Amino acid sequence: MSFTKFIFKRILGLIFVVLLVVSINFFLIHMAPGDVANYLAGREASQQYIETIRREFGLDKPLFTQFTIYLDQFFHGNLGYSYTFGRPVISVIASRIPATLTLVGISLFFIILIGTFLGAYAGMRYPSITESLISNISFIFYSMPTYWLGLLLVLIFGVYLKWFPISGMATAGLEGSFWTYVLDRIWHLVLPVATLVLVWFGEYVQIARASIMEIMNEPFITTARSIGYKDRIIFFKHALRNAMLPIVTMIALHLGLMVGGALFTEIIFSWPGMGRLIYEAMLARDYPLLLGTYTIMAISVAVANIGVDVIYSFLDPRIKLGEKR
Amino acid sequence: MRKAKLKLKVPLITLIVAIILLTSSVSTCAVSATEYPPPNTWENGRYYTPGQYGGTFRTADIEPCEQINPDWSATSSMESAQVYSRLICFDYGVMYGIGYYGDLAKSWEISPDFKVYTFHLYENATWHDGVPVTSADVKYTFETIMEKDYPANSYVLNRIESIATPDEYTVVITLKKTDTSFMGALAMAGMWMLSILPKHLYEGTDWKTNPYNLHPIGSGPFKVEEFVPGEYTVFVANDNWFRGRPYIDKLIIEQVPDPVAGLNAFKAGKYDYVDNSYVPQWAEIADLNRTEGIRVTLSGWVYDLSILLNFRRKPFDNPLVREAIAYGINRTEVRIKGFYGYYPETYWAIIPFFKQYINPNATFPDYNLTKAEELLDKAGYPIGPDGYRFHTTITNGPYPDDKVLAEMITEQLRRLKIDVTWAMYDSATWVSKRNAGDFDITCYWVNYCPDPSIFYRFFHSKGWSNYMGYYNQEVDELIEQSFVTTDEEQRQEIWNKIQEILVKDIAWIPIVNEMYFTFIREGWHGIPSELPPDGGMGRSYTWFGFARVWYAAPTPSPAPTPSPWFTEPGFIIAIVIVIAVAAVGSWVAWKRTRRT
Repeated sequence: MSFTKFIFKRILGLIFVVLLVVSINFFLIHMAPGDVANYLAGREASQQYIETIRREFGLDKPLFTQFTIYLDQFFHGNLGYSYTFGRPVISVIASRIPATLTLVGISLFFIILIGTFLGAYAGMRYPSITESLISNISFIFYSMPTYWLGLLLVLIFGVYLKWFPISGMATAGLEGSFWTYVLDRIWHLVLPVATLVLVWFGEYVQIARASIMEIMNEPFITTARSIGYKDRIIFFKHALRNAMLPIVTMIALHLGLMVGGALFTEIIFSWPGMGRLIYEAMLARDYPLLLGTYTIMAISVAVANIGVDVIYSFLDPRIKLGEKR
Repeated sequence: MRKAKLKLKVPLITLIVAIILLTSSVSTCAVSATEYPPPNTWENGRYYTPGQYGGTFRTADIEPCEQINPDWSATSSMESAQVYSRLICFDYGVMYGIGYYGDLAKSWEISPDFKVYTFHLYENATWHDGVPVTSADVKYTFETIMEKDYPANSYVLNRIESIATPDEYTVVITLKKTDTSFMGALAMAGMWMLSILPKHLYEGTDWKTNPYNLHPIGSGPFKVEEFVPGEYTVFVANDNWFRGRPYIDKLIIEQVPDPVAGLNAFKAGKYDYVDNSYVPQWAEIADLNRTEGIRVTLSGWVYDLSILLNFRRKPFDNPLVREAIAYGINRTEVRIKGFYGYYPETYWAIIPFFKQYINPNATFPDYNLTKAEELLDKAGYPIGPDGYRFHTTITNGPYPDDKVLAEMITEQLRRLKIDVTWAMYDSATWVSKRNAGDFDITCYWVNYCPDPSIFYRFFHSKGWSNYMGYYNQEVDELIEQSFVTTDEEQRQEIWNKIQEILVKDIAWIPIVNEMYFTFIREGWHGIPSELPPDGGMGRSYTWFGFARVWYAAPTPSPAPTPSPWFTEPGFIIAIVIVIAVAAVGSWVAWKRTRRT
């Protein structure tokens, strides 16, 4: 099978998956009781206004009619208008994506780096105290609730020590040069990134450790050892490269989920990213916005999956595109 | 080789840390030098302590703010309060005898039959872009809301028959019929959903999508300098505000959706002020009260915390059962165990803060368990074979106060051998169930502001907040009568009568009076929820008005004896890290030597 044919086939599959996701989400979201009128009308809401809002947004129409209207819009490349923002969904999402990509992207970079190397190192050193230390510490952090760890870091480094800011992405009303802004952003990034890294790196440690341990028992490693290669060369040149496959799968999955943001971390640190957007849209029952975010997430996960398949073929020449494995 | 690499790394890290620390300290000191007018000490007929100009006031808002226009959706209250003006308004003073007062309206006349209201506007009021504010803006705002049926319409504006503008600074509102409660309702709506919008920027556009919702041009005390939805809003003082420039130069409102995070940031000194939406745990209040440099203020609030019994459902259609439940509730226990003693008990049909309207003879039954049991037996609900009289459900929204209340009521009703299931929903679910009358018992808050004319909303059969389905012909008639009674004494008599019937019918059960907490960093004055002359009541222009907030460095309290340096948390953590690094390092080294 040629490369173009493979890509074409996968893109067809992607469209099917996204449509399925949109339809399922549409009905699931509309099944939840309450709607956006309750939110917009505020604490002093009157039933009359709630009905007006429903009429205005077409929420009084039968669910299936609403669905066909939404699909029609969707095929015209229009994700609709957010009820609460009064702006096109695409522009709302676009305004939140940079914040999320910065936070999750930087965290993911450190997670992959630290997680993989620690895990691989532990796998090499099995069985030893170092190995069990790395493995157990990563397990301890992995099992901590993000919410709790985030608040703990805030308490220690934000409230008591006052080293880092507690909330937000930047100091509001800051004046200064470009570099002041950049440093201010980095300074705000430390705690949320630390939270995400501590909680997530364990996952990579476990995978890297397991796959390195498996590789280390392979005959070619024994051969390399008996030739007299140094540990470092065996590790980088032979073991790590071969252990990359499961790690790459994991990375791709996470890259796909990246646009979804990190809900708890974003809430604790008042980070204006996608996670918080989804959370607030859910509470306000802002259907177009919710469907829009889910659609974008579905697309990015699907695209990341195609990416993985392509990367696989480069990493392991034995795997050919489009063939059954 | 390895050593050389290490040496390079260390200075780089220290450099970065040093730069970060430097910029952080630079960002905190920025004072502008402007010419300030003399401080405003006499406003709305009251004397206030002369304030000091300058400074930045920082606070947090728990509600998401997607756009700044409260008129088409009742959101963004805190942000819009800074930017826009209303015709007339209230503030926390309403609980302390300060009634509604003018915002854009300088003065007004009310016709003897309470049908024609003539407002005279401030002639020096301008929009932030320099265009003068005129009666045409008021007329346009009101008429658009009425036409589009935005929230303020059903709240107050649907009583209006016509709006005339005889000149640029006069607005004449004629009502469909005599209504003594109009001014109160107008001021009340102004707090949330009746800001006057600029006609020259909004005319002919859809209010929902008008780009000025993101770059608002108002006529209020602050101009929006920067609005980042989901992050923060930076306001600067409007030098040309028609009531005189605000004291502070800058106001920053950040959006913090999580109460724990918001309170932590306040403790760390990031904010100068947060309100009671940031109290996740009641024990925190006592803790903050003891903290040096923080002032905790407790002021009256217009809501009670109550429970509604659904009249449409069995067994609550039975007056004996309702009475029994009223007897079965121990308010003292709710106050002490549930709310740490902060919320006063309420036994009347109106909260204690409006005592001028209370009928002292109309009181809800006090706690009496034996009486309650007798009544339930009499009503035909004896203890059944499963040990319970009947099964029911209590619901509430995700609000901390309601959660505490629901928990306490569940416990107290179980003592009456009523099997109560407790269900808490997210806001949208709870509101839609409540509005549809789909509940047995629900926690609720009845709003008593500004006077008992609000009874219409909750207890008239056509009232839009009559969720429990209460209907009493006599109450309906009396409420309608109260609107057209222009004599104050007669009106109070009618209100007294209504209260008697409501209590007799157990139309709802008020339990405690909700209070409003504010946490203020020492040195800040003119806070909206504090009493004059130092506080801002009477000139805050809505609940969230920060126009008259000012800062004066507090007189330093005697310096606390410094704790020994070795108990500093930073030092302890550093020591632990050093020991850990040393231990791991030496262990690795030892392991290496052993291998070779």
